[in-house]
Amino acid sequence: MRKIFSFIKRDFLIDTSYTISFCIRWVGIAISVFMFYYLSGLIGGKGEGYLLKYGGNYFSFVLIGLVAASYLDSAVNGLINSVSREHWSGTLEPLLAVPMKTMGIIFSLGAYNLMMGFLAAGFFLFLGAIFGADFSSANLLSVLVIGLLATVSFLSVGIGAAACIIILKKGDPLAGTLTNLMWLLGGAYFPVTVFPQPLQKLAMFLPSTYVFEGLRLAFLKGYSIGMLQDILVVLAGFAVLLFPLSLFVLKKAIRYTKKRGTIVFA
Amino acid sequence: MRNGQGPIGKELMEYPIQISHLNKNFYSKPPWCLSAIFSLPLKKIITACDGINLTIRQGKLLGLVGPNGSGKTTLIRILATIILPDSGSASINGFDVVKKGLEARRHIGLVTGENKNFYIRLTGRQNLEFYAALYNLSKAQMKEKIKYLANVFELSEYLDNMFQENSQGVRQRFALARGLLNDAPVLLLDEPTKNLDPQMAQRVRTFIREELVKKRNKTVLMASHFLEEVSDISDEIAILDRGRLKAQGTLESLRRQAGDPSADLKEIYDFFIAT
Repeated sequence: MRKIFSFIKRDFLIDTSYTISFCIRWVGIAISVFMFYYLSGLIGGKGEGYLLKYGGNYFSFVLIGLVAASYLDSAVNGLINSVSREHWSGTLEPLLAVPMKTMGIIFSLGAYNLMMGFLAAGFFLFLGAIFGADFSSANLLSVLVIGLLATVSFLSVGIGAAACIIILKKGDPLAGTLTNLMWLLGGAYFPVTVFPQPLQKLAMFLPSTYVFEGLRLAFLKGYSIGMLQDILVVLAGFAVLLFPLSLFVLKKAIRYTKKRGTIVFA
Repeated sequence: MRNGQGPIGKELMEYPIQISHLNKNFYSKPPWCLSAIFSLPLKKIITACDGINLTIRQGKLLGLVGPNGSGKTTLIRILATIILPDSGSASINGFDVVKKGLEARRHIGLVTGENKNFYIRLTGRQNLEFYAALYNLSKAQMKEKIKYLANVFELSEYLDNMFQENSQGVRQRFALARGLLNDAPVLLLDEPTKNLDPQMAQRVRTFIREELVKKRNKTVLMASHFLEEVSDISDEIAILDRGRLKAQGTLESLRRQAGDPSADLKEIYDFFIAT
């Protein structure tokens, strides 16, 4: 635990050393909330048919999508970027020589981003509440359970992607594009039902679809765990399937690159 | 050693570094890709270790010399568990570096000549504190250790500067300090005096020889291109060329092997590299 905290502290110090970049990130969150608030005003009641299930308000609907996408993005791309940065800066070599399991090192590299993703999600909600989003009927236990399952599922996606980065060295733009696609098709910005049938079917295979749906129903309609059981079962399935698979892939990737000698620069 | 389980007797502890029939080749293409799809033969580009057998006695310093690409850094990386050998075995304090990598790493202090591998947006102190925490040092131990090492390597005035502001020489001194944070019994030093000015290089050599080896009984494997340095402080010298161990022994025994009782290391080196 102390070692993970050391990674978090280190990443916090590095992150805040780029003061402007650190501040702009939070300003960016405020801008997107501001933008979607006015976009919601423009849309008005036009999409109500699609949004009735979630209370009929587009701003509250999209806010939860932004919260979830921002947090999940930190789980996936945060880990990828950290692994990539350590590799390219050459700092992976001394790290691999410390008495820590290599898997533990990779996990620890993602800890700070996950924490920041959590804080960013909180900031989104805070600003959303200021702009009038109504969370008064939220079921926090359901939110917590979905959040946990989503974290495990998307951390697994991040671990799998990090394994690819370890082997391929470069791939973060591809990963960024794929995750953006996952947020879009999963319904972060508008309901999946807006899409044509083939895309709706594709969305059924994405964990993001269930996370967005479950979180909206829990946050905006106060669905209990019992009412969300179908979504929770699917998410649990993703978590149970993806987590061991991602660990297996990461283990293989580490062994492969250690064998090839490419885990560090020659 | 039994299945990489660690020290089982006095003999093993007598030789904290043991390398047996170690082989390592580097290939030009990902083996699984090519062999799985096309069944093409792999193109071997470098033989970094070719059947290396080497032991280092406790409390001794072995200097490893050889031309560029001879396999010195690869050997050190294998011992540090950073890369895996193709075949053969190596152990640190009785722990097999492949089967018991984590345990082996507990006994290693690693200094690389690649001094860019620090976090440039942190200060030197923050860098050292980060690694000290990973070595499980308590706050008090951390503080004391950093103070001591800063004193040894004359780093006190640079501790609170952003790392990116440091010169190459200062960075190298931080690399030395980092490698010694955990007070490991086995030290793997890859060009420890690279980028250092002559006075600091001499100070580091004296510290390694007098303090680490003689006083604290550390076992040291030091790779270097500076033959004088190796000649000055090593108990034994190993000469590596294209992954093959050409010779190993004291300076005296190497002179005998080279057939010139008055030869210096440069002449001995030339003799073995030429053959």
